Amino acid sequence: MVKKLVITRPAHDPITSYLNYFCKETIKKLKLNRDIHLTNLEGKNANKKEFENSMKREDPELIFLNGHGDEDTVRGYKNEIILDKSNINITKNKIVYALACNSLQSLGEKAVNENGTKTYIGYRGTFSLVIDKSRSNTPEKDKNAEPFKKACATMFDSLMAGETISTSIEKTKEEYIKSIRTYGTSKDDPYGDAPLIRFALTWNLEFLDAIGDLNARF
Amino acid sequence: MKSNNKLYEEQKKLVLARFKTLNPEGKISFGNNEQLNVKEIINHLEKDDEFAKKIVQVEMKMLKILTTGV
Repeated sequence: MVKKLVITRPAHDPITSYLNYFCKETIKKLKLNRDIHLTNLEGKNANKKEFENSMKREDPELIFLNGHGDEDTVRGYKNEIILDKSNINITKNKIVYALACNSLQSLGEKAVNENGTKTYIGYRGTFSLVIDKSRSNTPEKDKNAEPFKKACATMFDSLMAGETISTSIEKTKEEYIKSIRTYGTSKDDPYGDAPLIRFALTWNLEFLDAIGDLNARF
Repeated sequence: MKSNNKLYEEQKKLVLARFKTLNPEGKISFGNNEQLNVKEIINHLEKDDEFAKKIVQVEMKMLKILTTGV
């Protein structure tokens, strides 16, 4: 049976451009995968209308939201709210992974506890990054972004491989810890940013979490 | 409670001392395009606000990872 995934990937400012870049490789692989049907709402298509239409049309098992967020919302292109309590019902019985700030804290709790969302993966705090400002327009050339990309890609790859939510979280946390231990010990720290990068990685490690059915898998 | 406060004060001193060794212009993005430089992080620690408590919590976790293999 073909599994369905809807993903939102705005890229209208530095942070959303980095998040967009972090899942690029996995998306490339997914396009060749006949067992997974991907609806990729990228750039200006990462808006509420397209998102809600895709949810109705595709009825996906997994929703992967990249963008800005706060305790009550996840946002899309130009920070339009694409998920909040007004439309949280569309995530019923589905797995949500929000690579966005803070949304697990309140929206995620509400989704699982009041709406029947199967699992909500997200961050209980902000999502942190250390950007090389000379590379902020070209995330793929920013070496500082690599350990953050690796952790985010680990989560996405693990979910795509059909591993449970708890395994996916565990693997991602292991990747964060590995980078915290090793980053800056070699030539990967040309600007002396390593202490801040290790701190930001630990920040993300601390606030990444999930609620709901942790044995669920995509 | 008193010993918890004392422990926190000691941890905060350690974290503050560590941040003071870093490039003051170095920046971290805390989502939503909000960036803080090391100087501003130090200000939070000196004010000991809610954000400072999170900074101490995270830096202590990082030190644990780096020193104990946990």
